[in-house]
Amino acid sequence: MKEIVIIEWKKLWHSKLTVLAVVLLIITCIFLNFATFFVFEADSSGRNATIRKEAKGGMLNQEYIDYLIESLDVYELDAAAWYDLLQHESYSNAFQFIGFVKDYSDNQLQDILSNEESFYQQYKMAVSKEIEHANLFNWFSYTAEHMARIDNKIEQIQTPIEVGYNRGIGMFIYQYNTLYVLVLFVISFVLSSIFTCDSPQGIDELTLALKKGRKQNFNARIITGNIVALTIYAIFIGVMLIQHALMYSLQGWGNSLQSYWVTAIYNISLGSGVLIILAHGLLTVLLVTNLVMLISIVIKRAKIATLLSITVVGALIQLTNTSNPLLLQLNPVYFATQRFNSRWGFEFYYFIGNIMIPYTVIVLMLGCLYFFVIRLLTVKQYKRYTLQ
Amino acid sequence: MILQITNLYKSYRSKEALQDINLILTAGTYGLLGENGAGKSTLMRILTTIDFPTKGTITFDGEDIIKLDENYREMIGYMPQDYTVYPSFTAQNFLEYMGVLKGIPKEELDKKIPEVLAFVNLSEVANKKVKSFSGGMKRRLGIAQAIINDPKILILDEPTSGLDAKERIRFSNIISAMSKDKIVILSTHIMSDIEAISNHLIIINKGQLIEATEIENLVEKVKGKVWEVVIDQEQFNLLSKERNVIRRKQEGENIRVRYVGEPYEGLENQSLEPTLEDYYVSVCL
Amino acid sequence: MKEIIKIEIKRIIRLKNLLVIIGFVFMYSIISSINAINQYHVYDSSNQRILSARENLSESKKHQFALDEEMIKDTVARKNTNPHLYNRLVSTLIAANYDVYVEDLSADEIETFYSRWIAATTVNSAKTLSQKDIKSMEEMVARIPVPIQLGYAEGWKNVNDRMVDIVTSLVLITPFLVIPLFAKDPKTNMTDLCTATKYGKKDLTKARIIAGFTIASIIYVIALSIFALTTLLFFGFDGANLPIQSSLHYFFSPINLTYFQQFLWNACIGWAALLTLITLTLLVSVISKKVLTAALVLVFIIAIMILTPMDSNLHYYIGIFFPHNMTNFTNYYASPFMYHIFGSTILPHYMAILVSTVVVSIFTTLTVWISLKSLKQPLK
Repeated sequence: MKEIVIIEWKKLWHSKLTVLAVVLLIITCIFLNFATFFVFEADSSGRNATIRKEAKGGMLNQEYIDYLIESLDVYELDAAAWYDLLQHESYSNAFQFIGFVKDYSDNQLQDILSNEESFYQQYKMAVSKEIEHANLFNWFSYTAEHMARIDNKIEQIQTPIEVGYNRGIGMFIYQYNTLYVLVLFVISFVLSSIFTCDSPQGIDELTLALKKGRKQNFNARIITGNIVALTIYAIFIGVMLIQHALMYSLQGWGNSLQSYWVTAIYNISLGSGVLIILAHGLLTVLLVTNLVMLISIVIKRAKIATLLSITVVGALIQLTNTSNPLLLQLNPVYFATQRFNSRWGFEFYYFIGNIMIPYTVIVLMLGCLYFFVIRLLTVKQYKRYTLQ
Repeated sequence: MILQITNLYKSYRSKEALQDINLILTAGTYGLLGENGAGKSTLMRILTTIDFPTKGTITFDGEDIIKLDENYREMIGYMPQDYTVYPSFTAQNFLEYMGVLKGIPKEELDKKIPEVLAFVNLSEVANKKVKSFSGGMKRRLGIAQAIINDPKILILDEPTSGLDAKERIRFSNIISAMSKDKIVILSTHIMSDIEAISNHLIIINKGQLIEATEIENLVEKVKGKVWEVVIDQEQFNLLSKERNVIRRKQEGENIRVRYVGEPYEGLENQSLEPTLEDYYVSVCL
Repeated sequence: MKEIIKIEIKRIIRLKNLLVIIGFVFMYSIISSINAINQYHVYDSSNQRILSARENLSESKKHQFALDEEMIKDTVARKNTNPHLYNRLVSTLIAANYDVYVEDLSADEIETFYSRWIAATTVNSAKTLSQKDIKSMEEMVARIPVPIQLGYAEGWKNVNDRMVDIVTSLVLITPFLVIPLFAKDPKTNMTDLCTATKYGKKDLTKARIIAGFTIASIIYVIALSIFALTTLLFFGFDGANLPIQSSLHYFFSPINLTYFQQFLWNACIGWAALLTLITLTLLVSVISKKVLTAALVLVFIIAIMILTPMDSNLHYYIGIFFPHNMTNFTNYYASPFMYHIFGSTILPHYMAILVSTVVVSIFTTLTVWISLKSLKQPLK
């Protein structure tokens, strides 16, 4: 099996279409990342892109708060000044965090920042309100017991949180969500010919007539297809990380998750949060990969299989624009691109009785279910496959 | 009607595909013979202006065929070695398409298509998709499109490749039937087809012109030099080192051998009437 | 030449496929129109339907009037409180012109309705304009006839507002159909056969380009006609000559057009956007020569166009002329940019046509040149 996988791997990478697709993906990502960099980071003259990498990092504790009050005269800031601070200032995380609490509180800023304990109490209340508010747009509603469970988890958020410069990571996440769909299109082009009878990478009479020409060969192609998709995904992430590291630096992996996703209730670092998102993305890549290969084995004609694969991927992407939350949450593309209702959210929760199940777990379960169905349908085609 | 090739060279990067080809072709059938990679298809592509020479000229009745441009292409019918038709085309669609590109007016085309289909015995499958055709049917369809504009010059690249014996005979008869007053150039590896159809033979080897003359003249060159013996393996091993073996056939313990050259001493050599194949093997292999 | 164009069109698009496309467009148009009609139901505060869309629209068809001082006074005095569309439109338009509730308008404010409207329209449109352009804008606004004629034009409003989706889809999808004109299928090889024919070189190249334009145009015209006719059959053909300022969407538009004129402009700009992408597709396919390679490159070009972020400058100079942005028709009527060529001020809808003409010419020339170069035929 290993030998067949290696041969199929080489065949795929020898295809000019594969190489071109990956090269175009890399070039497009590099170009769009630079374009975004210049548009987002240009100053008011529209010219100089400035990044303030020197950051006052550390725990957002009383000392930090006092420092902000003294050095930046926060109580005197108007809306425009807040905006500037959020965009370009080194303390942007902290201001984002404080701003969130301010928006949900009826108190004055002086009261909010009077002491650390009260600040974080108000923060936790704000998180609870935000989660409850976000639930209004979901297809199910939290009961009072559910909210009590959530509030219990919120209470367990470790404070003070660690903040610091993390613009590079933030922009990486932003661009990842925007450009991720390109990976799915590349996979559609590269793998839609893997089982067709009219392409060099596909199936021919010679193959079918061999001892290992059906089940083993077909399984080897499925494995190869998944490895190729993984490779393409890894190249995509690599390019994004390297470029953002060069443009912004990737400081801030150790910051609290809440320094970016303010209402997250996990006590993990920002880096771990990013890894979870990348894992979601990987799941979707593998699902789409196997779906494209199923289309290939059913359709058997390269052009039509490619067209259908692109149409299906395009439809899945377009369906993420729905306002129906259930449809959205069932969509594999939504698993990957984390387009939550609220900018602050990292996760939302389902409940079975009083057991709280994060969406990430649902994603895993749904992913397994989809994969199982696709696999079943694919294997059914093995014996039926003919060249006509 | 004279197609003249003068000092023709064709190079691709480091390879000389054709070197100093000089030919004068008038009405008749010319078999173009050569090994794989000899330059036959290259010559044909240049004659049809699909490709262009690196050096040299080709003229038709004194005028450069490149300058003649579409006026020259109007006079040719070409069937390449490899071609695959658009999958959605039926035989009718395909001939319509080619007929329009050849500049045949619609009214004339409507008459011509059934004629050529009948000529190649494909009338019954006119509305069937070409992708469902057998190899022989595709070749006949290729002939149909090549002759639909009643060309003065017919260029056929390996037209009988992949055909069974019956199809080859049918094919040969079709070519023979329409080769009057035309220059027909057909390339093939199959000697019997050349002998059956062509009066002239052009031999190209490694891009160079080896021979261009009437077939009778060539066969004469090996008259009295073609022999047949029945020998054992040991004798065969010796014979094959010193003579051009054309055929060998195992007959039990012995081998029946046909060879060209001086009769091998000590054997019961039987003299045979030479064929074109004998000449070709003796010259080119 | 005509025959060659015909056979190339027949090769690319069969009647069966065209009927499938028409079927899709027809279904989409019907579903879209039904969804749009449902927006005209009127509900009370407890979400009970008090007026059906049919009643609402049929009653509104009977009313056509000018938004003059008398009408404004009547509205302020709440003389017309029925929930019908025509009545709500009047209140909404009046309210849009002021920062206060309609009932609180004073007599002075009513009198100065149109001077206020002219000022608001100019200011609204002048956000991104230079001083010189603001003056041109003021002159444009002054040419809009007042009082504004109101009336039933829901058919045309819906056509103009909702045609964005179908036009954008046509612009982005149709180019893929014409890839096989110049690009080869892996299993098809007729190049040599065609090249060796009388018209198989220069003429075939030109015919293929014209065929590409023709196929795209046929599909575009048929699809847009079906969409427009279906919508108008649902809503009625009335109001074609009413000014676009009679809708809330374009109340502050400085462009003096009727709905029918707006539809024609939108259709032309959409067609220009389509041809731009078609010529780009032909160029890509003549270079790449293979169907899947061309499709891949085209997908990435479209992705780059859609995903490239732009600041306002870049959007002004380049972004607005990307095919998928050209179909964002609002850009031309609400706060339009202004352009200058040789000292003349040009509105964006003219500029879009002009730019796309230039781009189409460049791409077409390149396509012909590259195609003939590969056939080694010199350009005459």
